[in-house]
Amino acid sequence: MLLDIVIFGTIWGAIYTILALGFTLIFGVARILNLAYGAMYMVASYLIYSLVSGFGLSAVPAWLLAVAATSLAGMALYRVFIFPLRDSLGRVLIVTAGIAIFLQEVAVLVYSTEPRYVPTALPGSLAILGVRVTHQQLLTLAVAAVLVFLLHAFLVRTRLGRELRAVAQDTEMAALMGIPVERTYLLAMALSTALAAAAGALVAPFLTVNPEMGWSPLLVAFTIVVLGGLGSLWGTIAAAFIVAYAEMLTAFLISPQLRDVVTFGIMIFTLAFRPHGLFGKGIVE
Amino acid sequence: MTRRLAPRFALLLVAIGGLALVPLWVSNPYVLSVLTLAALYAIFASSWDILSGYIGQLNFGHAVFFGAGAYTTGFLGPHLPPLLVFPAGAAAAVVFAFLVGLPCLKLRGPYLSLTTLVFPLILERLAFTFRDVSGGEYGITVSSPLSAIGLYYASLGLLLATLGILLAVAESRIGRTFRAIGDDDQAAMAAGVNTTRFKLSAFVLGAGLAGLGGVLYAYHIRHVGPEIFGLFTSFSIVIMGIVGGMGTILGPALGAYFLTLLGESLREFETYRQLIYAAVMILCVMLFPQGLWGLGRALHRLLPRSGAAKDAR
Amino acid sequence: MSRSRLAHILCIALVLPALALGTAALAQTGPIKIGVIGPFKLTPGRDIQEASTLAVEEINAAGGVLGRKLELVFAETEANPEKGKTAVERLLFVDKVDVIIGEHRSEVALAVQPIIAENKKIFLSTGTASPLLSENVLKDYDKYKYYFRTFLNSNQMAEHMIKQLGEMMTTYKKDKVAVIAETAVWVEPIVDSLKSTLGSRLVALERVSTNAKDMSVELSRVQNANAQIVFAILSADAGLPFARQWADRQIPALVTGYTVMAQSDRFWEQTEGRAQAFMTWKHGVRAPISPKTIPYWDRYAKKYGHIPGAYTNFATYDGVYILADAIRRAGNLDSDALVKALEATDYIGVSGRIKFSKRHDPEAGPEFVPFTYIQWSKGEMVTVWPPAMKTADFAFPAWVK
Repeated sequence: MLLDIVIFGTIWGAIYTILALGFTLIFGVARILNLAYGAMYMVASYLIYSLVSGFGLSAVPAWLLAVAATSLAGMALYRVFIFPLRDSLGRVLIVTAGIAIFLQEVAVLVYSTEPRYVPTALPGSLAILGVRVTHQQLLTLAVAAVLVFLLHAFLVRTRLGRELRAVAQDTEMAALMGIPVERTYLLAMALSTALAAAAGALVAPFLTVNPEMGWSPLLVAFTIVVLGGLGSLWGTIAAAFIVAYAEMLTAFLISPQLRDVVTFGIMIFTLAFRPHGLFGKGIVE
Repeated sequence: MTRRLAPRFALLLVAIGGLALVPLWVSNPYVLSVLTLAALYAIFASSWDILSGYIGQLNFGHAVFFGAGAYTTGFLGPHLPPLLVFPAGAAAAVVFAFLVGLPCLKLRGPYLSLTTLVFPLILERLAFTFRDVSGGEYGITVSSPLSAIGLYYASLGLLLATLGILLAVAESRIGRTFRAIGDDDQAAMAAGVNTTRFKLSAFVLGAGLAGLGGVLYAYHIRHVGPEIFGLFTSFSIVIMGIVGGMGTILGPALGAYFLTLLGESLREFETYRQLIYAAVMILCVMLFPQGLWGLGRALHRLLPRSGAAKDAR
Repeated sequence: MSRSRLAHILCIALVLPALALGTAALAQTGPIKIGVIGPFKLTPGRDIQEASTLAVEEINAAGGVLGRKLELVFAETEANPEKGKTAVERLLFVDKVDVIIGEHRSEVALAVQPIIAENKKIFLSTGTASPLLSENVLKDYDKYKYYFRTFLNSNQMAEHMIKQLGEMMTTYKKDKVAVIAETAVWVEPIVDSLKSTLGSRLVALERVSTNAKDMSVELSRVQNANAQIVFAILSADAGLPFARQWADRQIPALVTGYTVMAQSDRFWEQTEGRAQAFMTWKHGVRAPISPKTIPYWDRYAKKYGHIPGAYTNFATYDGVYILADAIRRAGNLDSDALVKALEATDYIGVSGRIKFSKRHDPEAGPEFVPFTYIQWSKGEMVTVWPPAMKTADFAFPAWVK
């Protein structure tokens, strides 16, 4: 039993890490709460489904195409809908909520509410210490690790990455130093959406693809960012695993139905009692 | 009374009066039922406005308040005389006002909104989980002490009272303080305002009125279930507020009538209804942030004064 | 007044009553309006829509009922009681339908049942499993006698599902059963029956959320308990990951119960073949339940390009025919007369022989509306139970002895 919790908690922790990192990118850098974040995750999953089932593409090209397309969509979303309203965070919230609902309804009309499936790239399973894990789930773990590594390298070693971090830390100072802030926001949005899409791509083969699948990831991502605090990559990763294990423990030891409640509870308690999060420099000004 | 209050009260009385006369010409129960629903949503949307439009706590989870009122009706309806169910429903909503309001005190903007979004989702999950108490997905059947026409007038009456109270508060010094806090609560605090007390008061006021509306809602539908805590219910209120015009009390009420009636008349396009709502929400917040109320005010300013109009003819 | 004026008035005075009588007469020959409610964007709702349309086309082609055509008026309820209420009110007061059929969700049916009853119209639900709906008929017959159902309630489901499980346990000599059931009110009677019937042979009881997407936890526990049969009750999407993970992890247990996802003709593709040997109760199968069943199945598939999917399909098709039959026997549309005619129903439909019990639910059992189970085999759904109607033998999953 404990082994199940550890193993599945780790796999979910990896997925949540990707989700949370994507969310923290746009939130930490541009202070924009993109309620359509989950919708991007959903769109990517459906794109993969269409590319694989409709056009017969194989797994890897489909993933890459879906992530790229969703990322472009995210940038367009920013430019058309968020950029004009960026002075009013309230209006940004509302417009992104509207977009999320709109995209969900489009998915219902195009694909119907019946869940779709995305074929697994790596069929088969193996036993780890008596617990049966599918190859797909292990692949997820591997891909997530690679993505985190790449993201870290990008943020630390490249010029664009450093600009991004500078803008996140202090927008005015960054602008004074000559960093093109708006372009940085666009980059953050592209990366953020790409990560959401990547998470969608990883998860689609072992869950189901349906129009409402975007809300849960959005709320989980927000919870993790709240718990971990902004400004620390490792803090976010740690928080992602904490939330994943908390959910697994609740599911196994208390009741699977209360999983969501525990996650939301973490969000509310952290905001109420430790708004700066466990590791970061805080999100509440 | 401020200069703006009197004409708004007048407008309100005329509108409610007109609606009160409708049953004299129209006896079709379907039409009356839809109008009752619109009145109830107007209560929810306007009570949402005092929170989101005035004190700046953009609330994505207003359903938690009227849902509390509705479920209270479900639980206590068979055991209490109807006159006591109303205060019970309002009390339940006020309890949630504190449960939601207290964590939100220190929060602003997006963090506040997402927190408010999450409360009804928690209740929805609890309603599904503790089925013995809540009736689970089947919900609870409610029997109504009022007839359909009784409900029509009760909703209209509650709407009148709600809008009257909210307008009076909004146009008073309290309302101005609310706005000041909404614009910049740090500055308000620096100016010596006890923002905690004002924020909580706004929550209690908005929640209490919504809770009363929730009781009537349960009587009207004769049923209460977890769907009342769903995402779309709360989003509908936000859409009504935006389309009507945030920060005007009467605007969201107008938005509620508009969208409820629009929804029913779009029955042929039933499949596209949610899509259209979402599109309207996006267009409104981008192009018409003042909503219908703002449009109305702009048109009103364009009209020539009555004397000139007669001459012009 | 002038002469011509008088003439005009006389004309009108004569024409108007004639018109009125004419309209009344027309009303007797106008179509019989059947209101259909349901969540048409969901599969069970789609089946309600399509099955009723096909039934009405056939009846009209054969001359209609009492010389009048049947006309369907659809009203979407979106699985939401608030929308359901306005949908039903529109049908009753604007479209002025004569009867109402359909609906898949019990919470909607429970909310609209009183409205339709108060307006003394027949409400024939062709989905919805809540026993409360028919209990109302027993508790307050005068008010609720207008309610009938052509589908089984969850108490009946419990009784027959346990019977099938028992036979399976005896035939294959398995005595350790795990139950994975979603947390929903309609499931409770079934879970309670399972608990009391199985006693210590119930080795694991897992309750899952209706929005669960991942079954890893539950399957681990089932495996650890050494279950030999998994009885699943899953009406939501969870059925899909359940089947896939069951096969991937080669959980050494047979599967039975009621998994709605497994009833879809897409299930094989969706699980990429992992559905092999997966079994579920399915109401509406291509088997000789009655002489009408297989021909209907093929006609339906030909017309719509897919096979009947949800349980509401057979129930709705039979429901329309039963209504038509009752109207013919009553000779008019008076609701009280229709109640008597419906109560006397003894009709052989595609779902079997339908007779209404005192609570206006259909009698269940092999001679009436049977419980049929399908199993997936090489990409097809084959009927494996009850033995009298099976089209193939039950097969074990490849990895189970």
